[in-house]
Amino acid sequence: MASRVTAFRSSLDAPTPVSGTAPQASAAPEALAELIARYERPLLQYTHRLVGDSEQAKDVVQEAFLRLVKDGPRDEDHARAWLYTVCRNLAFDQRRQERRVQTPPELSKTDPPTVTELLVKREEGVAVQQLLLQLPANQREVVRLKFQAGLSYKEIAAVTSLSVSNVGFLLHVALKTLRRHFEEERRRSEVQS
Amino acid sequence: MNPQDNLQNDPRLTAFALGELEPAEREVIAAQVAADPQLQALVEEIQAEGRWLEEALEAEGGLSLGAERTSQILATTTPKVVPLRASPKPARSWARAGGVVGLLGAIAASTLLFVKSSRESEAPVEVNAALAPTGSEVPKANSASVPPATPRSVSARDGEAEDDLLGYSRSPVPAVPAPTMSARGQPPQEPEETNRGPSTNKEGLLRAIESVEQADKFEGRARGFAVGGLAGGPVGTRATAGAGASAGALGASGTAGRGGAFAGLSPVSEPDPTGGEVYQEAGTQGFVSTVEHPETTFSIDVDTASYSNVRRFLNRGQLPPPAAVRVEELVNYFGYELPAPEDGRPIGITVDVTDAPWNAERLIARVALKGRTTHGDRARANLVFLIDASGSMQAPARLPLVKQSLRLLLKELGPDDTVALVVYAGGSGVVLPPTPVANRRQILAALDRLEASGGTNGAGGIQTAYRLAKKSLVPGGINRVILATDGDFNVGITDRRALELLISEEAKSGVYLTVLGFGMDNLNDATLETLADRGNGHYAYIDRLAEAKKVLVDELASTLVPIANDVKVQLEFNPAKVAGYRLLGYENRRLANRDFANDKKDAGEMGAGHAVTMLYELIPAGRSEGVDEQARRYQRTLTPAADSGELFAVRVRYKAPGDSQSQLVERPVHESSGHFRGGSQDLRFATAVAAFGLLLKGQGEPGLDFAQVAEWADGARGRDESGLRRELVELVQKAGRLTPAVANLVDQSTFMDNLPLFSRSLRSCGPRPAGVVGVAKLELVVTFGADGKVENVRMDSSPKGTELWSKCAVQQAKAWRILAPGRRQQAVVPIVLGP
Repeated sequence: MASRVTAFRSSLDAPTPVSGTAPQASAAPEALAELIARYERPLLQYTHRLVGDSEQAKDVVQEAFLRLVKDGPRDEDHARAWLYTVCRNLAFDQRRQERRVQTPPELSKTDPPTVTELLVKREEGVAVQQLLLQLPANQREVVRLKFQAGLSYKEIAAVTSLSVSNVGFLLHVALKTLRRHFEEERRRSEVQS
Repeated sequence: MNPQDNLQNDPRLTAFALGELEPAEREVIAAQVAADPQLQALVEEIQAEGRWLEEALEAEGGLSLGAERTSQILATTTPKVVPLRASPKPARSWARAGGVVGLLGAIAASTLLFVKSSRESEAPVEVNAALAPTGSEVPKANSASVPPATPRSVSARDGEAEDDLLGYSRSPVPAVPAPTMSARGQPPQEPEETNRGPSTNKEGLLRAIESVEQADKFEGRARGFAVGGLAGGPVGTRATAGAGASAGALGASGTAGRGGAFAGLSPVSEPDPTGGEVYQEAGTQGFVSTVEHPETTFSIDVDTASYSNVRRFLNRGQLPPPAAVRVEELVNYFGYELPAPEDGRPIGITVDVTDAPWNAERLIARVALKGRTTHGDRARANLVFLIDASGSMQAPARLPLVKQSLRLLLKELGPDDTVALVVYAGGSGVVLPPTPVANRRQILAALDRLEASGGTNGAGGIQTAYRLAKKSLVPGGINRVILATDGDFNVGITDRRALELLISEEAKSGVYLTVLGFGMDNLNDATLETLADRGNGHYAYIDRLAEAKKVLVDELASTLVPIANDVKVQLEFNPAKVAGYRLLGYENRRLANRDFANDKKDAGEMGAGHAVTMLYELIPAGRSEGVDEQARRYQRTLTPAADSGELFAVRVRYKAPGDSQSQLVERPVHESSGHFRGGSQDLRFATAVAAFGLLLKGQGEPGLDFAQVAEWADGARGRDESGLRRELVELVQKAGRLTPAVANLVDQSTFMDNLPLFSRSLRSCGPRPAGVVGVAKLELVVTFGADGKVENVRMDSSPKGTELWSKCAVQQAKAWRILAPGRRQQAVVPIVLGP
């Protein structure tokens, strides 16, 4: 596993000027830090579901940011969809390598829920993951891109290589299905209590 | 199939609801939706679903790249990104300089937890919450003191080999979630192995960002204490300070330069309506100095809904969300034995004071108002039931319970009283015009016909209900709209405002509003409470038939017969005797002092037999706790009344029903302090309930825990014929059992995961201690045993003035726990209490 990290790090080996002092007015690192702070979480959440392993997800997202710095778009609107696209492609590359294409692991069994997940479960009464698992993978993905990543239909279409109307259809069906499950869940919990 | 059916199954409707349609298409769909209430309801439903998904997915997983990876990314930026390419939308360029932290909102104190092995250097850690005047700008000094990590720094770590990298991912570094550890199957690192260099400044910054962000997201409602700042070793110290500074800058807005001896770090909400009194946003913990603000004014609240709601959560095995806990409603849920008012006034005042049970250096003052009881023959009642019959009311705990409750109430009404039924669902309609209760069978039949279906349009129904009530208005009688709903108004936020306005307007007609909340899931607590307030009414939450009986039968008289309107309470403290005070609860009931005597200013209503209890926690002058010095300084300028020995004076203003001019009752309170155990049963019980509320809100005090509270409450149960006090004791015990369960949820020894819990417990120590000048840097060192329990806590570096706060923090930290890490670990928690 460590080798993967090393591989990514090699991209840092490029001889870049080393400045011992702080470059004045170099705002970029802060801007990038802000961008990372804002998107690392949703990107990791999204990627994690694609690769099924949090370490791999981190590798992928890190790589996506590195590529962004190198040759990604500079404005945030484009950067956002761009980052998702790169993460998605890298995730699929990895899965291909590992011949895991057939088993997109949304929340694999071996992956213990995080504290936050458990708390959310407690708070919401219904685990959103469980609900999402009722959906086919392609619907699940657009739901995450829409509501977790906050992407527009157009951006989702760009990321997933689907048409905008296809995205709209998938979301429509997914939301309908979720509403049904949600209602069932609610009724069930009420009957219990 | 008609076109509407088609649209219901049309992806364009979903796209429309989510704001994803192009303008041309949007107009077409909007027109169809506007014409069809069912489509409207569906649109609302889709939007609500989207919001739910956003929230639920947002909270999913506490993932972060971690400091190491982030710094690697950042290390590549300096040469490549600057100068910036022009961007198509310059305003949104991510590469633009900006307040890194600015987006995170107001932040008070900063802490960052990280684990380091016990042998690691104990070099001073600097964290900084120096707050800039606005959050939008990172101070220049910041960019200078936080040089971007250079490739050299990265390769330096490279030189330490893979092991070191792994080390970062394992426990010694906080920012990397522990799954790394297990995922890589490495044995836990022994403390002896660790001899790492200091973190770089950059990492400090990133951790700060990360932790702020996480804490922020984790508990969006619990602002006011967040996490920022940093870590470092001998070399990193300076840089570290810089990192902390930028984190502090982020949170700057709203916190800088707040006055008030106790106000310190608390974010302050809104333009202050209290004329300078400083309160924290919902969940007040800070004491207010009597020197600066000797008076406090608020509107009474006789709502009790929060208690039933809290009970519902606890009985389901969940801790209630802190925002759902309103301390005053918990306290006032219970009946207390209060003397009837003297001399024909409608309201009597009872006050008693004892030591605070959780801190012998403070006092608890109970101020209770008791309304006159009616004597049998009450005026005729004109009741209009407005019943939410939308689809969401279908569940057993809703519409069926509403019907049962109304049947109960019906039995209590006289034959001359009238009852009308209005339902609102997709449309709203009069099911039963005002009908004398003598016609009981007709009323019951109408009730039985009610069925849940369709969406909810709250506003239409309310208008109809008020119209009916006004039509059959009984002059001098009881005119009331009784709204039964799960609060799930499928109307947008602007409509909600309109609804409030509408109700405020209708309330002037002399028709009062009672709001009864029903239901399990989407009870919209805040909306209902607001509606009841606007409608000169009160709000109760009914979760079972017994509760309906309590509210509608046992308390019928007070629920229906107003005896005093716009009841306002003002306390004026004597700074010679009381240095600081805080009101427990009533966060959303504060009034500006100047509005006390302003009869145009609306306030709470009291019904016959109603009682209202308020609890204050006081810091007596002359005991410890910071404020004293200041108090003594001003004491000389006090009026002669200050020597009277009075602790405070209570003033109550109210209007008799129908009057527009208020009357004033005033009562001075002399020191009558004694040991808590010697206090009256009701005082002790009420105090225990308040303490319960504080604990549930995460605002506990040192020396306060659920077991202790249960004991106090149990010792003050008295006769308790209704069994309600016994039930409270059980709820407290339940909450006590649930609380450690939350901490035990931690399934990894990751401090980041614990952070929100831990910081919440520190937050309970209150904001910045009075008497601290400038920035105070503290370092809390917590040693966890192999079993995950805290073995030892100490506060390194405790600058003058922070002793008390430190004591509290140490106390709080003792209760921390991490999931058995299998070895001893030490956490260092740098804390900055900034100005």
